[in-house]
Amino acid sequence: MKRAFILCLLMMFLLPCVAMGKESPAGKAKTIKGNVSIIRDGRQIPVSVGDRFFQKDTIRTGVESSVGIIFEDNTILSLGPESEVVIDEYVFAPEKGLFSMIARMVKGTASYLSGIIGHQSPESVKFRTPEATIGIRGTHFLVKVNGCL
Amino acid sequence: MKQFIKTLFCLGFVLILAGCAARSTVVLIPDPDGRVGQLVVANEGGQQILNEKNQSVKVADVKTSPGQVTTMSAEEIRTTFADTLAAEPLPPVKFILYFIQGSDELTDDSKAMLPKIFQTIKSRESTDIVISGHTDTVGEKEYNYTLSLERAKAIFKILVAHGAVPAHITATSHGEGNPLIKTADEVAEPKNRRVEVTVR
Repeated sequence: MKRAFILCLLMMFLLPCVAMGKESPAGKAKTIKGNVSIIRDGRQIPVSVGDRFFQKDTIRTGVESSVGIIFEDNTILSLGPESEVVIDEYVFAPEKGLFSMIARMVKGTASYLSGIIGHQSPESVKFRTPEATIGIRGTHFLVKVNGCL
Repeated sequence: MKQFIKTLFCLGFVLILAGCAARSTVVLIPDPDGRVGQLVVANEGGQQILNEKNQSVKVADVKTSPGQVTTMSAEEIRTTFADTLAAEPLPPVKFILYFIQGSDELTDDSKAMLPKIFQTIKSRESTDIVISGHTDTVGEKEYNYTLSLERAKAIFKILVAHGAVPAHITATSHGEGNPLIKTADEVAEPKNRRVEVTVR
């Protein structure tokens, strides 16, 4: 009985993944300096220029490293050294009127420049830090988060 | 013994919390075109609005309202964010090409714009070009979907003939669904008969 329950639980988590199939990319790495990696499904993958990002990816930069990303809607995000940001959600489907960008800054420094989502649907953009949420009206900003330890 | 471990655990937890002086700093800077937008920095404690160049706010924790809005000096912005700003990619460039009504042939003005697009792709060594085809609202939706697809394909061919790599190009067709200028149905609007080319 217990085993059946676990199986059901597993299916519940796995099935949606199968159903989603191939996901469209959220953006591409355009500039890279030093060590930059993404954490996807628990695995750390090194990133080079031209590589794609997807929603749910965590982007991490090492010492004296940085990365610049252009998203599908032309949002520009760049990270300075020893930084980490999680792309919790990214949906850009203008033909269906669906827009969403939820990013979470864990530590380090970042620069954000609005793209189409920020201009057409600013309420769909949420940029979070551990201490606050930044709401955006078509704009360019910088964030610094002092992480723990 | 158990009590001791419990106490130790509690103490460690408190120390971690206290030692973790995480703070966020947010700075509003001008867009590349010089305009300044607006930011609302909010948490459980309250919110602050930034709407002038280089205005900045610090947030100590999620329960304490964001602090006073101050202006960060250009010097401090440079020292704190130099690496981040240096990593910003060039903003994408968008070109709009217009078409003759009901056809996939460019207007003369738009034909003249093509060399500038080829040059931009080359100088940026772009591996990321997006083409989107559009129509005005004259004709059936299905017809316009096909027409905008033909327009996107025509531009795709022109770019590839001038050196762009097909694998670097993404082409989409929007039909009459995404007009530049909103009109009623069955309205001929030259500005909506277009292909947008974004070079990133």
